[in-house]
Amino acid sequence: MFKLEEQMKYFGFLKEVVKRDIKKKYYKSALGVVWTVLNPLLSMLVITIVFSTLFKRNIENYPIYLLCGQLMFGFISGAGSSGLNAILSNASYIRVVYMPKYIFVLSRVIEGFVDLLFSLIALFLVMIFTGAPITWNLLILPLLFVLAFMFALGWALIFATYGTFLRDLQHLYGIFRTLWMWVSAIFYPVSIIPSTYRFIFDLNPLIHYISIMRSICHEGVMPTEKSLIIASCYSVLMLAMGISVFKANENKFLLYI
Amino acid sequence: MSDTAVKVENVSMMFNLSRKREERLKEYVINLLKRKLFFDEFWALRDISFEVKKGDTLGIVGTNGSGKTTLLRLVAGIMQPTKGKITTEGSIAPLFAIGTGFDHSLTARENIYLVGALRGYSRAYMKKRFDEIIDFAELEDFVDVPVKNFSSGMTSRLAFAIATLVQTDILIADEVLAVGDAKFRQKSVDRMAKMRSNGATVLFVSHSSSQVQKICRNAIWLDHGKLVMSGSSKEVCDAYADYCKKQ
Repeated sequence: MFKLEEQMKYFGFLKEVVKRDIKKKYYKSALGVVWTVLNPLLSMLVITIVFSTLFKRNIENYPIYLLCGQLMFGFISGAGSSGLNAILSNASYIRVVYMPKYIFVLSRVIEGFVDLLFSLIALFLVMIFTGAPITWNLLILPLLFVLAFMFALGWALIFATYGTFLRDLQHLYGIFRTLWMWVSAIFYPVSIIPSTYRFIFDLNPLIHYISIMRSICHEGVMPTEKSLIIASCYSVLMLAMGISVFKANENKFLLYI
Repeated sequence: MSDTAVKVENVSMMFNLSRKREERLKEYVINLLKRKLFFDEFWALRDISFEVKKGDTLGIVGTNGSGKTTLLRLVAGIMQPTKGKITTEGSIAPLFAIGTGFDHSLTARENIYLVGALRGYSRAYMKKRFDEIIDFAELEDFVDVPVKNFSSGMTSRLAFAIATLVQTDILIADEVLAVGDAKFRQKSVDRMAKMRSNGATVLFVSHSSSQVQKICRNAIWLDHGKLVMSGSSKEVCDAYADYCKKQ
């Protein structure tokens, strides 16, 4: 049963876990959290140098086009891979204390989300630098992020569940992630795909989040209602699926860690 | 409000003790095809029932693998029983020898805040009680040392100090006195006695029946997952000691 009052008790712990993991991630690195901003910037630079001549005529302001795709893809697919070992790496707690186990998955997704917010600094810098349209439509960005967060959490919960039972998923997911990246039209315009293969892109939920982000940051226009509705449906569906899969299995985790 | 703190009714716990668990996809599929996935059942506990009154101390004795720790984990709510029902009333502070809930790469200081948060205490509150914890655990010189460099005695001292920081309704103590030195053991026994006199219920597991006799009023004896005997701690411990001698 979900009692809010009882859950509130664990929010303090959630905060501490997020803090701990962020601290660990940048432990002893000289630049620390600056890497969250530098990382997308540098990889964008590399990919821009490689691809920009290729798609010069199709896409204007390629760096922003790329960054939108990269950041969204990184957050959502990253939620899956960090969810995969969320339960296993917190086994020391799960073994000895009772607590709602979703906390460990939620903390991972929040960490990815914090990274995403920091990366926005990089995005805004590049937007200003390249003269991308800065419009009131940027105010829709928080809504998009809420939707993306719901999707990512549902996604992470599913992989946290099955990743605990089947360790192979950690390796499989890496391969899946590469494939997923290529069918998410991050580096290239969807228009270069022959129409017979377009359905693959229509089936990929991630495309919708990316294209909303591109409407806002790349084209500077209001995202279409249709795209927002589709994204909302995916978010609600994924979260509901994640919660039900996780709930049905969480009591078995202890036997597998 | 009843006067029962812990009520265990017909509890059984089954583990799927596959000697190698299907963690690899290939094996999983093969076993699935062979329909051999769910074999090798192991009943860690069978049909256990007992009650602990509020403010009572219950000792649990038994040989290795008799189900003592499993029983405590069920009472703490960490696992759910396969069959039966467990009801507890009030806050529970669990303390297990199998793991202290510390993140070993973090320092004692960081772990104190983390475990505190896990038990629902704010950072501000833990800050206030910080010196007291360190003082009790006798770790003044090791506050900023990662726990992985601690000796097992130091780790369990810290765990005990945190777990017993606040008066709790039910204290679960699994072999907690096994590692500390004599001086710390005495301190721990005193602190448990103090908690008990303030109304806490204590569930205490130990191999040493003399300790159980000293600390507990009542006791139960588990053997291979079955309840062999329950009664006053003296009776049960004597019977258990006799049984051990015969072996």
